[in-house]
Amino acid sequence: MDTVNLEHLAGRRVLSLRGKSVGHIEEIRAERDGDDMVVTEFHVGIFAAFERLSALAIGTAVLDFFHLRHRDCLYRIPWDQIDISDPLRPRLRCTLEQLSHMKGGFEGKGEAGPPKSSGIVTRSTAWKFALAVFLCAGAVAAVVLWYMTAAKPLFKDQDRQFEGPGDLARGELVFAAGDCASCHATPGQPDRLRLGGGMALASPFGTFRPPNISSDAVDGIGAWTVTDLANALISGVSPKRDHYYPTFPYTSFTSMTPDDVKDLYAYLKTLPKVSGRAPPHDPALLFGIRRSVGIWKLLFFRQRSTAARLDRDIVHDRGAYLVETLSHCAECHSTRNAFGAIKPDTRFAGGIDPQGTGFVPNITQDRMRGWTENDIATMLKTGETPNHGRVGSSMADVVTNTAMLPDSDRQAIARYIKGLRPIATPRP
Amino acid sequence: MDVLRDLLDKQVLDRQRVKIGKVDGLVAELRQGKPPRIVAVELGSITLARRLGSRPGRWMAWLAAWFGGERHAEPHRIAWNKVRDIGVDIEVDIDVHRTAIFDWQDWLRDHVIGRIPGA
Repeated sequence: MDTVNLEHLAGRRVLSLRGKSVGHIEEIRAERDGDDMVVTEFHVGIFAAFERLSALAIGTAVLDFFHLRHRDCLYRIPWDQIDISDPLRPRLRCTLEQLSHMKGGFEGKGEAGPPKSSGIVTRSTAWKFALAVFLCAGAVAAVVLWYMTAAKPLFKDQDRQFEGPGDLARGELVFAAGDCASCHATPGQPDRLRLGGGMALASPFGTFRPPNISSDAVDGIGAWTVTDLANALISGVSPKRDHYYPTFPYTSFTSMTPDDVKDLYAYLKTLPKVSGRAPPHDPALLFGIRRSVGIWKLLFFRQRSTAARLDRDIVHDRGAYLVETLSHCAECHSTRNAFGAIKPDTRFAGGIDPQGTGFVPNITQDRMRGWTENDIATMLKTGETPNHGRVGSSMADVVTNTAMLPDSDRQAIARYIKGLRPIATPRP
Repeated sequence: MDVLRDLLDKQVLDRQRVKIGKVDGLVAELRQGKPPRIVAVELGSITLARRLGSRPGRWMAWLAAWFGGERHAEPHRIAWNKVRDIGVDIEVDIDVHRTAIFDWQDWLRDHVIGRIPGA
């Protein structure tokens, strides 16, 4: 009787008819045949080993990790297709082509089996590779974006541009021209110099409340340095290195001269202290993350740039500075895109106001052709329009400030406004 | 049944449920035109040594024969028809004391362990 020890077959390399290895015997299947137990098939390949160790899922994951799953992983070879007469050298009795039809599946083990075909493996690997590349690229992009959207102040403390005392009289004019009180004055009281903030500014992006900018050291900006104020006005960055929401018009103030910042700082220091902080902003969900303002700034904010057009006429150019920078007229007299940034081709052409609740008039020559420079200057002083009307709404508040400017500044504003090219009013 | 997973290295119990060793080997008969038939399970150090290679197997067989005589020169073999149940353990219908499986154990008990005071 020829016998063979089956345990000697375990782990043995199986050779093809041509002597090529087709894998190792990892399992031997036997079934009852009457009173006998007979060998029915041999399992060859690494998945058979995983199956024997009840580690198919883990083994598959490991193979996938090392990208080795493309190898033929499981053959179920019938007993008569392997010659085991020499258990140390088992040999196939069939061809490799016949062997390819013996690739095995997994029978109800509740475990993931090997792929049915190499095509699936290739696609699976490609998807995973693509996913890995996507995740890596995403991680790199996130790091770069995190860096690029950081709030970086432009000026450092002790910046020499701001050395020396500011001019209070000029600071008062900057304060008026900048229309600071219109937003920062404490609502519900008549003193426009009590800058406790808190007025609610509704917008499609949430409700924003200008902060306390009084000289109070705790609740206001009394503890700020002049460079803190410069960074706020020109960079839109707070002393705590947060971005300001662009409801604060630093997009216009960014081209302020250092002297004006210094003078304004000196003047603000003289204003009364107001204790108490404004209620917090109530931004829309996405904008609750201040870092998102960094993305907005990347897209729409150009630090220290201005849209002013200069023509070497001293009055016109002074008007350009006042209109485009200090008085930030375009912030209201323009329409905005879906992200709340001014559409350049509608600059000064009016449209729906930033709050989305009214309509701001066009101040280009498309509508102001009938106005003279004097008409404009008079309106900025008295609020009266050439057709015997009066400006209203928030413009009335603006006029309260422009009325404090010297005649020369109102004339300069008028000249610049008269020079604006005509742009049709955008349709609401 | 998966032979390597479900049989090999499993504990073997005799009819008294005495642990007599583990399935160290499985002997299959090769038949012309018929599938190999499992005819016996093997136990013992010789079978175990053979799994490491033919040379360790020969050394172990020589050693066993030198110590225990020719009776111990071959692995302990239990016919497959004596296998009663295959579960967590493999139960066989034999009396281990009628085999040579415990000879080494008995000799060790009588000549070494039994002479240790207090044992």
